[in-house]
Amino acid sequence: MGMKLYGTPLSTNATRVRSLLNEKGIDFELVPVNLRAGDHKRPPFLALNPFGQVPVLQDGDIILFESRAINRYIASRYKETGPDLLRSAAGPAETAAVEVWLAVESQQFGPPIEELVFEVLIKPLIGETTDQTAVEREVERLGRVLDVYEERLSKNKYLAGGEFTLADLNHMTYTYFLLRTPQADLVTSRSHVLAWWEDISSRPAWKKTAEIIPV
Amino acid sequence: MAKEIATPANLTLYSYWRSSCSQRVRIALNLKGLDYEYKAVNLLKDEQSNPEFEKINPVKYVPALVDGDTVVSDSFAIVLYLEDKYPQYPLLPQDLKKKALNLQVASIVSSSIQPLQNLPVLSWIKSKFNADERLKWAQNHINKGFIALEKLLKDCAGKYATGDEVQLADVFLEPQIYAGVKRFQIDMSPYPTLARLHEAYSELPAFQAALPDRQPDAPSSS
Repeated sequence: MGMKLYGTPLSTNATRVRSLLNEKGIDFELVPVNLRAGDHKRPPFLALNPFGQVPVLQDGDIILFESRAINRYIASRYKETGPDLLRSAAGPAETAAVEVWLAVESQQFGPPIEELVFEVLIKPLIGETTDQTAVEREVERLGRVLDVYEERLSKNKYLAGGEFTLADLNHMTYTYFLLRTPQADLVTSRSHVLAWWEDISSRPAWKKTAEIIPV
Repeated sequence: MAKEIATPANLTLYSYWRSSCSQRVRIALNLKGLDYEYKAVNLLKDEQSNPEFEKINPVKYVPALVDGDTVVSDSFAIVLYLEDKYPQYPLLPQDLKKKALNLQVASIVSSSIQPLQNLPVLSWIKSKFNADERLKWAQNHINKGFIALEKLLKDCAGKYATGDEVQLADVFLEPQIYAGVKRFQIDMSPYPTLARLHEAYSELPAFQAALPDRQPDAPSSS
């Protein structure tokens, strides 16, 4: 297919896109960007993403940034390739549920977990110091969010209902990273969240995605 | 850069997916563009004690390389053999100081760190004490080694350990750092150089293909 994904194995948001491309069975080239050298903040890269962030997806003439938007594009345009993770053929209630939990990932789950993972896992790897106050704050926030998930997943096998959708997939990268931290018990102590994770992370496409994550 | 490329007749690597020593050889083979047959030796099932394998390597360690009728075991010996026989993508520089540094890093990893946290040693510690002591033992030796490596490499400018090209030091470093991070919960914050190198290696296809999870004998559930 000739898709190019600009990003690195350590980049959480590039991994979010990789996880979908692998799930759909779409070939792509992972093009490294030297983040430490600041290449993403300089002109050739800024032409791809003026916000200076990875990932960027190049699909022919189409250039996209923002991993959640990229995933929406892939899931929608390539819905006939591999599994249809938007449940387009289902009724309006089911497809709406996918939208709700995609939004929940972005607005409720994302903010605390992204900050937590950055503080605890990424900062030590890039030579910065973890801010313990931020960690405590985000652990509390994320805990309250995951209480909602625990309740939801006690009644539904997957977030949007009975089937695995893009809503579940978009959570996988950060959940994986969280489980590599001392704060993993946020997930492991919640039996339905844990069961959900064990199920979705056993998908072969996820294992392929996780193989090259260096943490 | 070497002008010649030697092609092997028939390379077989006896390897265990998680063995960091096997990973070193897998990286070196990938860097030199050498295809090989992968033969898995399951260390948890004591397959290294099978008479067939013991004939190939009496020390009963993996990896072991079979190249035609030549058998080489011990990753350091294997990598230097590959370096001599297959000069494409040389892993040791001509500059004597740099060459010595590469050998020093490889030696620290393969003598002063890995042997103190390999399976037989950790199994022994666990059986005499417990799983907690096992982890603390491994972390103690890995941290000591990482402190030394960090001091040795922190002033080196360049994309990789000893310069802008991947060399022997990198081949030995990455499997040890990977094991430290993935299996022994090593906190990398005291080792910013090693952390930076680990990230750089993660982007290289030759290193990615050598990762434990990518090997044919890696368990299907992780």
